[in-house]
Order: sequence, then structure tokens, then C-alpha cells
Amino acid sequence: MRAISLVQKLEFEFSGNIARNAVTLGDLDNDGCNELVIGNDEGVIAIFKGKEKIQTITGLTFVACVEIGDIRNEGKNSLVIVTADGWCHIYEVHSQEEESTSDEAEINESVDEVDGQGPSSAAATTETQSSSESTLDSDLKNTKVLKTPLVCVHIQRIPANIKNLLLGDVDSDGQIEVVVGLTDRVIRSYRFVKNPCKTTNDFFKENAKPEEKFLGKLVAINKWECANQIGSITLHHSYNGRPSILVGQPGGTFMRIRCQMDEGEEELNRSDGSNNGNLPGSIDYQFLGISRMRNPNISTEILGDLKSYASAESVGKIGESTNISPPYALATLDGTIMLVQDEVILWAIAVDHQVFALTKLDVTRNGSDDIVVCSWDGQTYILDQSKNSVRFHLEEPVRAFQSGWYYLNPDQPSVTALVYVTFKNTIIIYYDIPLKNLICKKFEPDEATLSQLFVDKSRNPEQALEYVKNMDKKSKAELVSSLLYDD
Amino acid sequence: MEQFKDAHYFHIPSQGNVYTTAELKLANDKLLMLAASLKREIFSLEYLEAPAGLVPSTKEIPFTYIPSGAEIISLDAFNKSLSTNEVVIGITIIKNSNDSDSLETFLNIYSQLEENDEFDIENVAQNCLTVELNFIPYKLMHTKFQEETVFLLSGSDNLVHVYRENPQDHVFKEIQDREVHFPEFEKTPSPVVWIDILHYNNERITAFSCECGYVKVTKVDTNTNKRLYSFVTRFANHVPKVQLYLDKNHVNLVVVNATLPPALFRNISKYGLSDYVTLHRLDDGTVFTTCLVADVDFDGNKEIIVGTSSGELFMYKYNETKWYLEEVKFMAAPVLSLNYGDLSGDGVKELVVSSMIGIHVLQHDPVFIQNKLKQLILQKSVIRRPVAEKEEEG
Repeated sequence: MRAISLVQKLEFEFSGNIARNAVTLGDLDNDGCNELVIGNDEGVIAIFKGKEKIQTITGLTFVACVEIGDIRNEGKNSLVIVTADGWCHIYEVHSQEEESTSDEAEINESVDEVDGQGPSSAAATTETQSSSESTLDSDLKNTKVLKTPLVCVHIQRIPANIKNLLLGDVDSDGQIEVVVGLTDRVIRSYRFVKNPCKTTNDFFKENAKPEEKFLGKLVAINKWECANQIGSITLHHSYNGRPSILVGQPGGTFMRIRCQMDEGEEELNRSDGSNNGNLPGSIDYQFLGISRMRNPNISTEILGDLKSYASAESVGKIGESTNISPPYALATLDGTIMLVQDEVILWAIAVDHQVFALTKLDVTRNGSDDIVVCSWDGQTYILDQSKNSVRFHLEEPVRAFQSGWYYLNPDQPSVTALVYVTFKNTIIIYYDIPLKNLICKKFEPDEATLSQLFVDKSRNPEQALEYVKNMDKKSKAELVSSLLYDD
Repeated sequence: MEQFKDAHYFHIPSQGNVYTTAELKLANDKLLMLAASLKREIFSLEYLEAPAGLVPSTKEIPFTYIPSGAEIISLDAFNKSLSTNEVVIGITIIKNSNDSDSLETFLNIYSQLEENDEFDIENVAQNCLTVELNFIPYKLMHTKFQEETVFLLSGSDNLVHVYRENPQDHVFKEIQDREVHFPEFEKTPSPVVWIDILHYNNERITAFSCECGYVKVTKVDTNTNKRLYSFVTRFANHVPKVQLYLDKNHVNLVVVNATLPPALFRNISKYGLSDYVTLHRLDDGTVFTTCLVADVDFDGNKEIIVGTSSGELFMYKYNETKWYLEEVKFMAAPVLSLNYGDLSGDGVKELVVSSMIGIHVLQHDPVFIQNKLKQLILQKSVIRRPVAEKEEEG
């Protein structure tokens, strides 16, 4: 397998135990540039932008998951932190310039889904004071990068022992839902319901107690129980854009939850009048028949919605093929990596390393997502959807891994990044991965160009081209070599 | 060097040194890279052809007579013949015996017993001839000598030893009349670190550098073994590499100094070591380790690439008036040595960088080569056309 060594890297110090899902790349401050957020077991969250740490949030409990997304459905990103003991914190950047626009957005948005209950009592009783240090640091550079620090806009008690967090529109209603996976095989979904009387500005202007000015709350929608331990959860869309939640189950299998019902069913439900926002989903288990015997005890990672260059192309070509869903990837801890499309395994490879992290990133920038997997011992495999692979070895054990886009400088375009959290209290970001192509090819000279050399009295251009085409590889290589290197 | 793309990285489990990589050209024009590591592993690196593209392959070769606990100092390989595979591989080792006072050093020479079209490196690795050394070996290299190829080995005894094969019993022996055949290798003030030899008509130009900074260039007439000229200079400190090259029929010499800027001595035959330029250094924090002289951008002028201990490659270019630093490329680890050879077998050479952690193969960007070829062919046809017209007239 082709291997590469990487040069360009950033290193940050960050101590503590880091949960696998407590590291993410996303645009926190809504400036179009991604930041890196990481949390540890001591309840410290660090936010990195470019080449520096811009903020630290302390005073939380064991950070189990962090995610960046538009949880409040306001058209701007928030940082969602879920701790192992069941606290969900939402942090946001509140910028003055946004005020007028966000006011308008507030008015335009429908707030009909609010039920009359006040903020949950749990949130009110415990006040986790989260101090943001960056302003105190009086570091001019820092304040320049992030004009306004992140502030906590919401705290709520949700069940404890959450290990996976997903923000996404799981029922295609245009709103972002929160899906969490728990260590006790349960999947729950929530929706952030706004308090109609409160606007973002009120939150910052009022002097009232924090619990009184919450902008809304997370309302539970659904609960599903899986048969086995949850590996990871992901959102996937089928060819017609219908979303489903895929839950990795041991042994390379998964459970699929469809929150949105088939159109027929939906209408049926409506006529019953039983449908009041709580959409019951349909569930099915997929075992993905594979010839290789799989260990049913091995944990499975799953990742949906891989952007596919091939499918996009075929859609353009033939109208019929629009009913091909994007592929999704599975990886098991015993080192099997699979690409699956419509429950058919397109390919599977086995590696000798314990694969624990499965991410996607268009490393080659060809419009098609590549699968980036990482094993505990630092072996990283970059695979494209045609099974071509490149290996990179971080010669150090890895605690958590993430891949994505990162910005070194807001003025520069984004770069691909591999984020490793090591056991030596460092975060290593390898950026701008220099891979244009996953396959390494021999140089093939342009035949038309070479044929110009053979146009003479005995050969016209067509004959010369024919002559070049008939040359064997070795003499072509010799010709190229003599052209390039002989004086 | 922007046009160089990372093609592959061969990981080597323990670090090598500046002497532990060797190119080996086989009869079918296939190029192998041999790389040794301190902990006795020797790898053969090559590209295999597959329908989908090139598949890099690394093979550990079990060379015999390398006892456990021994460490590899230098490695060299050559093919005696142009048409068949008569491979000879030389490896110098140092054996640290239990008695800490005695260090045993050996030169192991591996060669294929019978001529065979099928080249099998493992076969070569099994056939060993050991020469016991009474000095600590440094650089091992080979050169042409009277239609033969001989090994040159510099040592801690401040001498350069010559090993020549006895054609009768296929045994390599140190030649005793070295002063006659290689008058350039006299006793030096300190061990010879690097040797470079240029064969030019019936002359042999030898440049070597010593640990103390002593650099000597000698031209010898290979027919009469007479010294035609000899120039000596002394640098303040360690000179890890000297490289001779021909540029427009002038013999130039690049001297890579560990801490001072690299120096380029031009047209040695005419000016000796008096006409020189120094190449600008970016910072003083690193040690220069190696260099490579090749026309890597195909503009007709040779570039000088210098590797450093902080993993940088500096490319110097000449712009009609002076040498300037064109580009800096960063590698993942300190650079030990550089090679420029066609590993992929497509006619375009690759830059092979040997670093502390392994061997990095950098491939030319195909689009860049395609455009260069177009340009080169255009230049050629411009030259050719008037000739063709004349022929028609005739």
C-alpha cells in the first residue's frame, strides 16, 4: 500500500483524558472558518483557531461529546457540549453586528411547536458556572481573533451516559434535531423548542438570572432501544433525500431508524389525528451479508452520506440512476473497512490494525468524499470510493481522531486536516495533506506531442502518431528519458 | 520543487546514516533502492507495475554473515555488467563484541555465484565473502578501474582502501599497489568522509573531503597513472559531502560544509579552487548534510539541492549571473542523502530522499513534465526543420 509522510503540522498542548467524540471541527463563530473544539474528563473545553488557542471553558464535568451545529435553528452555529453525567450545554458567540438580522430571523421563524412548560427544574437547580478565560487573559491577539467569546446560552439536564451526539435534520422537517446515543443501548432524539418571549438580545441585555432567560429548551421526541451496544450514530440520506439514522451495531451490522414515514403512512396517521409532532419511526436491522465470518462482539463505526463523485456523474448521464443512494461506510474494530451502497457491500478491505475512528474528508479535492480511518496505534488509512488507499502512520498511540477542514488564517482558503489527540497530552493537526491523487502512476507522455518528433519525409502526422502509438512502453520511456535528460 | 509530489514513503524501523542507501540498476533498466538501517535490516525498495498504477514494494533481505549486535555503517551496490545481472553488494559492519575494548569491523561482499538472467537478490544475499578490516570503515563506494569495478573504502586510519576482485577465484582483495594506481589517495590528516569521482575521457577526477575540513581535488591520467593536477583547500569544519559535476564541459565542485554555506568551485581545470561562490544560507541553526546536482526543472541548467538536519531541502538555481535560493521544501525528518533516479521506470526520474525515518520518493508532477516535453520537442523541431529543408534542396 502506498504510504506518505506528512510534514506540515500544528501541535497544541491539551491535557486530560479525551473521549472519542469530544473533539470536533466546525464553524463556531459563524465567520465561515472552522475551529477545533476539544473537551476532556476534567470538564475543560479548549477552542483552537488557526495557530492558537482562543478560548478555554472550565468548570464543566466529564465532556463526553462536543458538536457544532445550528441546534437552535436560528441559522447560526452553536457549540453543544454533552457531559457524561448528563448535562447539555449550549455555547454561542453573540456578535453585536448580528443583532438586527437575528431579530428579523426571530420574527420570521415559526414558533408554533412550543409547549407551555417552563425551563426544566434540573437546569434551574444546578448552576454550572462556566467562566470564559480568554477575555481575562488580556491577550490582545486572542481577542482579535474572536471578538466576542463564547457564552453559555443554555444548560439542561438530559439522561446521563451519553456517548454519541448527532445534530441533524432526522425527520426532514427543515429543523435540526439532536440525536444522542447512550452507553445503555438507547437512542434518544430531542428538539430545541424556543421560548417565544425571548430573543437572543434579551438574553444578553436582561439582568435576570440565567435560568429565567433561557431561550428555549430541549424537548424529547423519541426513544429507541437497540439490541446491542452502540458503536456510532450517523445521519444518512437515501436517493430521494429521505433521512435515516444509522446506528452501528457490533459485528459490522447496523440498525436503521427512519423518523419520517412513507407518505402513505403519514397521511394515514394524520387522519387518525394521533400525529402530534411525535413521529414514530420505522426500524430495521441490516446484517450486510459478507462472506467473511465476523466476530459479533466487535464494535462497529458507521458513517453515512458520503459525497460521491461517481454517483453525481451518473445522475447527470442517465435519468434512471437517480435512485442510487449515496454510499455509506462501516469500519469494525478488527480492521474491516467497508463501503456500502443500498445495503450492498461495494468493497471491503481488512487491515491489521484496530480501527476505531471513521471519518470522511475529500482529501484529494475531487468532489468525492474519501474515507479516513484511524487505528489506536496511529495507522491512518485514506481510502477513496474506488478502494484506492494511502497510508499514513503517526508513530504514536491515538486517543481520539477527527478529520475535516481547518483554517490556518481566515484570509486563506481552508485546508484538509487530520486531528490526532495523543496520550502525551498533545493535539497534533496535520494540515494541507499533499495528496492530489490516491494512485501513484507512471508518467505517460502525450502521444500527439511525441509524434511531432517522427514527422519527416517518410511519415505524415497521422502516420507518426500511429508510430508512437505502436511503440512499446520501454522505448517510450527511453524516448522520454532521452528528451528530458540528454543534452 | 513545488512540482515534486509525494509518491511514497518507505518506512525504515531504525535510522540509517548518510552511507546506507544505494541505487542498483538491473539489466532490464529497472532501478532498485537498497536501504540499510542501524539495526541490521536491509531493505530493497522498488515499484511493481500493476494495472491500476504503481505498487510500491519493500522487501527485507536476509543478508548472511551479519551477526546479531552488529551495526551497519555503509552500503554500496553495483552491477558489473550492462547486459546481464552480475550484482555485487558491499556492506561494512561493526561488531561490538562483549569485550568492550575490541571492535571488529568487516567488509562483507555479496555477489551472485552463477550468471543467471533471473535476478534474485536473496540469492545474492546468501553468497558472502568477508574481509576483515583493521580500521573503522567510513564511506564505501565503487568506481571504474581498468575496465573493472572496484570498491573504495575510506577508514579511520586516514587512508582510502581499494578492493578489487581477483578474476580467477572471484575473491575481493585489497590492492597493495594503491599508491601506483590511485595516486590521489595519500594519507590524509583525518578520515575521509566523502569521495566523488568523475571519469572524463581518459582522466579521473577525484574529490574527497575529510572530517577536519580538508578537501582535495586531483586529476589523474588513467593510462599513465600520473597526477595532472591536484588542489587542496581546508575548511574550518566537517565537510559531509563533495560533489563533482560537469557543466558545459567545465568541471565544477560543490562542497557542502556542515555549518558554513555550501561552496561551489567553478571550472576547476582552469582555475583550480580559486573561482568559487558561496550559496546563501537561510539560517544558521541547521547542519547541511548532503547535496544533489541535477537539472530537476529541465531548463538546461543544473540546480543544486542541499539537504539539512532539520529536514529542509534547499534548491539553488543559477540565473546567468548568480546562484540564488529558489525554493525550500520541508521533509518530515532530517535529510541524510539524496538520489535522483528513475525508480518508477517511466523515463522520468524521481527524487529519492533518505531521511532519519525512511525513504521518501518524490515524483515529478505529470502535468509539468507533459508541458516540458512539449516545449523540448518544439525546440528540437525548430532546430531540425532548417536541416530538413536543406536536405530537400539537395
